[in-house]
Amino acid sequence: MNAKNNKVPAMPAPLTAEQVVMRCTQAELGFTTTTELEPLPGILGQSRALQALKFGSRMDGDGFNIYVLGNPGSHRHHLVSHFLQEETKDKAQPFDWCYVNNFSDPVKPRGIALPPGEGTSFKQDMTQLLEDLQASIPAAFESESYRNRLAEIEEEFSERVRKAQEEVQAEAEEAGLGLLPTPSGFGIAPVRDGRPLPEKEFMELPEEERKRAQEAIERISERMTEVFRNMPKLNKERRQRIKELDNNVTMFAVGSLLEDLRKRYADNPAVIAHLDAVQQDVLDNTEDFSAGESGPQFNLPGMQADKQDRFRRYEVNLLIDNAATEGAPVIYENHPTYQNLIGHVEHTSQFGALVTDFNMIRPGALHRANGGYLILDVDKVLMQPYAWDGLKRAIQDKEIRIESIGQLLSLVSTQGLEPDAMPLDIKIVLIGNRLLYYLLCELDPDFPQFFKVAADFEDRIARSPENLQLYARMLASVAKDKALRPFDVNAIARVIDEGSRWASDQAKLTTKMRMLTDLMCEADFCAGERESPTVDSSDVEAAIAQRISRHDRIRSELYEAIERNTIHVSTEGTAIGQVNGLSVLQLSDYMFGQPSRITATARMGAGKVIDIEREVELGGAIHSKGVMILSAYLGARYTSDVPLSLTASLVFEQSYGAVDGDSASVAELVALLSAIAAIPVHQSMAITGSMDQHGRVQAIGGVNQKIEGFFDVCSARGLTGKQGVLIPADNVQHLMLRSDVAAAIADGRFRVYPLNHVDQAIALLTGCDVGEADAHGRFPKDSVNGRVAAALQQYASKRKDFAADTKTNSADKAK
Amino acid sequence: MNPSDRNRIVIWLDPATPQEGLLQSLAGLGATNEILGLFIEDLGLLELSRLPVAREFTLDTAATRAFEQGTIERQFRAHGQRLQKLFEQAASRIGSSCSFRIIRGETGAELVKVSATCDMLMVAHSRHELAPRLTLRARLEELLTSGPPALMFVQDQWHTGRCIAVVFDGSNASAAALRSAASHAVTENLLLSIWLPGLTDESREHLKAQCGAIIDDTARVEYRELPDQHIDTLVRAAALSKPRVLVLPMSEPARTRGLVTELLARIDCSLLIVR
Repeated sequence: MNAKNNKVPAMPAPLTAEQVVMRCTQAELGFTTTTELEPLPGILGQSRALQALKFGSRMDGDGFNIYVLGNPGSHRHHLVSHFLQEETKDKAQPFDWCYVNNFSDPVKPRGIALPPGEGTSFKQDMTQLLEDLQASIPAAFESESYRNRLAEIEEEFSERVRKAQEEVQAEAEEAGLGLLPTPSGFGIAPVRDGRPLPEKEFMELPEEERKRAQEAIERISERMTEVFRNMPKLNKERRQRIKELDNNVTMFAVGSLLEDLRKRYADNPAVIAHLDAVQQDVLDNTEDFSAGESGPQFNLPGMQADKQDRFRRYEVNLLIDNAATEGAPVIYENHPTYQNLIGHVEHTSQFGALVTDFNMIRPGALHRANGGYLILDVDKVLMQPYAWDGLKRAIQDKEIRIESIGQLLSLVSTQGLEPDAMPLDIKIVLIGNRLLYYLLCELDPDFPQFFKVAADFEDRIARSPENLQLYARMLASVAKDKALRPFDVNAIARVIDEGSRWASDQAKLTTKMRMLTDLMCEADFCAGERESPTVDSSDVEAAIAQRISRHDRIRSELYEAIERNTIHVSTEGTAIGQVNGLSVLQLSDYMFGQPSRITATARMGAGKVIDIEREVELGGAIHSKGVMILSAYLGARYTSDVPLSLTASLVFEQSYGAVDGDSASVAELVALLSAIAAIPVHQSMAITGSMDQHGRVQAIGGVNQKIEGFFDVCSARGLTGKQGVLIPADNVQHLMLRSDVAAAIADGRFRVYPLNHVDQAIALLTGCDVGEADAHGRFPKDSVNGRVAAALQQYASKRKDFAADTKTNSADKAK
Repeated sequence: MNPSDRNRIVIWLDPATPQEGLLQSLAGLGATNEILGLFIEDLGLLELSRLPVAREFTLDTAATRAFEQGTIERQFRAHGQRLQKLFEQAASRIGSSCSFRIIRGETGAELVKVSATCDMLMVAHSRHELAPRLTLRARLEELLTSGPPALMFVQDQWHTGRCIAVVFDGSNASAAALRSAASHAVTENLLLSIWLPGLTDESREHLKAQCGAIIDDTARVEYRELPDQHIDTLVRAAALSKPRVLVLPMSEPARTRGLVTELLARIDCSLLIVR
């Protein structure tokens, strides 16, 4: 046995009421109501995250996007948004972005960037241009001058046709032939007085005349062939001449209109190129403008083609208008689907088919936030199909390319739009929890490359005097933002105390703003119920009590079962091999303590401590680890010179669910020692704490709820003054006990003991001398340790005898 | 033509011209009319086919082929059956008494015969054929000399006009034309556009007064002034008024022939010549 284990530590004194809770006082805060406090809109106690946000938002370079780590309810969205709004106030507005028709390939609309605010004026200019074209082009085509020139062309070509046909007619007549209409064309034959020559008369003609007639017919046929074969060419020439005329007239009508726009947008080559394309298209389609209102109208059901549809191709789809944007945009997308991020193309039904054009391109959050910041919840992005991939692709390519998921997966064979990609200059700010951050780092190789800045939000801040003041101002901001009644100083003090309790630390304050805000709103409601103009501490207490009450059904049933002895938990008397342990149940945000009976049995064996929870797969790995540690402690302290010849078993009685954690290690050790040495244990006490292999007691979680759980059970049966809880001394700093528990401690009706070593627990729970080992490692016989060591020695010798007997019997059998 | 009377209208279905417009125009005729669809198997073409040297120039291929009797007989049968079917389909959509007849004879003589017994002879015309002038030239003499009280050339775009236009110069022929135009306007519920050629305000007012005496109050009327009755003036007026039918009084045959030829070549509306 090591010498360091020989010294038994002094018995601890029970904690005072002042030690089990940290109360904020009026003097520390120094105001009357929150109306006196200047609101604190910024970030409190998040200097690390703030520094990271500053760095990330200002750092240029690929992949310096930000991941904000932190627990939900810490107002990360508000804080990040507020920070970025301040950060971007003085930054330049990003450009406007619009889509226009690509006249050479309408499937690929052209994107045009314009200085902020010019997008609207460009759109208006194009609308005005269209109106002007609709007025000026028909006017030009209805002018007398145009009609005359058109008539000249028509007349010229009619004349050429007429002349050619009449020449043929004249030639035919001169040759004594007639052209008689037939169903398919013309019959050509010799005529007399306009009628075909009868066959008999023709046959009576001299051979030479008949031959001449035949030759004439062949000649006229050839001439007709020549004339009529030339007619398509003539028609084509006529159409070209008319087209030229139309172009000239159109140019005269539109030239000056377009020239004005060219001057206005002279410094934007993309706009100039578009205006050139518009001009060419107008020239190619003048009939659209000259058709006017009296043109054929087909308004069938399901058909929406009307006059305006003809001119949609000249419109401007102003996708992003930054005219009213102050500084760089900060956009939060609450529903980051693939489409809501990347943008999409809408369709409309025409004649039963889905059609679209550049006017139906819709922006995504990336478009709206381009030039600024886009805030996204990482869990939402990851849950939306293809949203994460789409986001990464945009970051990597530094452009937003609108593609439907159908196109992306080649699911849709019909042709969609392929708009020009929009150049992307953006900072993405992802907000999520730490688990997702570390999983993404581990599982997505792109993630560390694209999100190089981690802004880790603190869950708790120090409860320093300075922070108390700031915390109070922050709570005052909440009261103001939520339009709550003024909180008096005691109410704020009570909220601060609750903040420490949620932080599970006397020296810390929680940053879970959602919970604090909810508590304040509920306290305000309570104040309203009693028609008070201000919220005082009783309202906060009432709000806390009501909140517990709302979540308390399961805890009540559990305590009732203990009260009615359905679940056995003793709070008085003694028992061998039985200790009251403490565990914590967490349901949503609500935690409560659950006292449990931990029992142990011991008998001679092969040195194994059986964890029954583990055997039935209800115990977790950490719990098993705790059991192994106490097993090692047992062997090292009591049987260093003989084998540990014991088989012991440990169990959480009446526990039917999973058990994990090592906070019951000390309780299990005490139960085991009690069982080995047959020493009774006081049942008026409960114990929690983990231990190391040397018997030092270590801190555990949920200490407040555990103490309060046992207190509630004892209180229901009547406090005797002997009841109490043993906790690790390291957890004293975490104590933020309820005021009724603190009051019982102050009155001496309940006790809380801090432990540093398991010997202290043994002494307190058995009421016996623990026994200090002498220089040879031997414990006094009547001490607990002495009795344990003796029992184990006895097990070892019995085992030795048993082994010798077994060996002899085996040898006899062999003989 | 008075819509309340039972008029006899002959539709000459000439296979040399597209007939769809003409047949569609039946729907615009009053339900009380008696309509005869007439297909003439022209003896002249049969005679032509007997000539060993005769050739047929086909417009769709701009080529000639031998013109034989068997060919023209087959063409007569095919076109007769096709046109009868089309006529009967069109007739089934109107309430008038309709009949169809195929006769063989000389086209001019047969037209004279039917013209003597009808109130109006209707014939199709298309500006969009390859050789409308050649066809018209061959037919016009027969049509004008056949002498029906009213002769209507139905253009294949007859249905797109907004009014019935008539030139009224105070002559007896123009009074008949005005009556006919008014009747058409009432039947088809269209505006009656009366074009008054006259140089002075006084003469125009005089003509208006005459018009008022001829037409009843049921027609919606507008008056349009024409500087003259020159062909270009009429074409321009037709372009502005967009009439469905332009009604003209028959003047002397030579002028009428020239007018009809030019107008049918340059305007889209149908043309009604009234004696």
